[in-house]
Amino acid sequence: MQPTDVQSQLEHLRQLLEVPFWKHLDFWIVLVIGCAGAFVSFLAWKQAEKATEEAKEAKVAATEAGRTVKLQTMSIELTEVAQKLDRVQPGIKFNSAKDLFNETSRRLRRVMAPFAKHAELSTTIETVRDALQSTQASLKQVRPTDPAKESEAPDAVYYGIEDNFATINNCVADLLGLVEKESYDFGEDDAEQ
Amino acid sequence: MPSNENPGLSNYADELMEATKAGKIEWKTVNPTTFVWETASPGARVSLQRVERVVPVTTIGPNGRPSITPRRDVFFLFQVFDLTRIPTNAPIVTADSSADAQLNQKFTALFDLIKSGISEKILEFLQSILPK
Repeated sequence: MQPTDVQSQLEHLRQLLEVPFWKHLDFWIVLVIGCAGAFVSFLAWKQAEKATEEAKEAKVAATEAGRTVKLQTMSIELTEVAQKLDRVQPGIKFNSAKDLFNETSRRLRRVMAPFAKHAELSTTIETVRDALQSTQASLKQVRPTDPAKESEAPDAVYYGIEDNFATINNCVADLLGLVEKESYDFGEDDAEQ
Repeated sequence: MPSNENPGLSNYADELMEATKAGKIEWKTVNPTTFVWETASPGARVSLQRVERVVPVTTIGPNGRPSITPRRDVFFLFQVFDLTRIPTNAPIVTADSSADAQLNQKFTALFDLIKSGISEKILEFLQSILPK
């Protein structure tokens, strides 16, 4: 290569460097591709955020729907228990009263347990639990010393437990009313969403 | 049947207490809160039952929120059965002392007297079976 060729090459290179980079076509191609990539990434992020939000809303709706179903189940169970409590009549024997109490206690405790810390229901649930404890204590007070002679005081069991069973029944009625109100409120919330 | 309406019942409770103190009446335990006394001639049965009920009372607390506290009521149920009549399990007298403080006091004393009498008899029996 001759010195003049080298010089002309350098001159050509200098001319190329003097042109600003943004006047090159390849710069704009890269820039457009880069911006398009960033825009697509932004759209993907927005979509992902929306999907997360929808998933959260779906979870809340499913939870509330589950609670509504649970409350409705509780309402049915409480109604059945209240009807059974009407079986406490004069002449009831200790064993029948004990069976009735055991069934009542088991069913009530089972349906109330998931809502024990519920803001609206907790006080009434606590009252039902207290009433169950008092009734259990009153049952112990009328346990016959000799079952064969239980009929010597035919209404002793009835009078011993009557008031406490009535208290359970009243508390169950209060709880039933609150549960029905709560089920209704959940329905309204769902409709608003 | 409060004693105000029937003072005879209050007097009868006094007489029952005297007879129980004198050991003329043998009361039997039907359950921890019910005692009965049966006479052969004329055939009759008298029962006295202690009834305890717990009533939830709603009160407003200092923070303005309602709170429920249990109230314990104790009263007695007094029944008499005529064993010559059929059915024998239908009482001819039923009186509860929930609305009569004076009668409630008398039945409380009678109940305690019966209970201590029965406890004494059980203790005597326990002493008698000890080897001498």
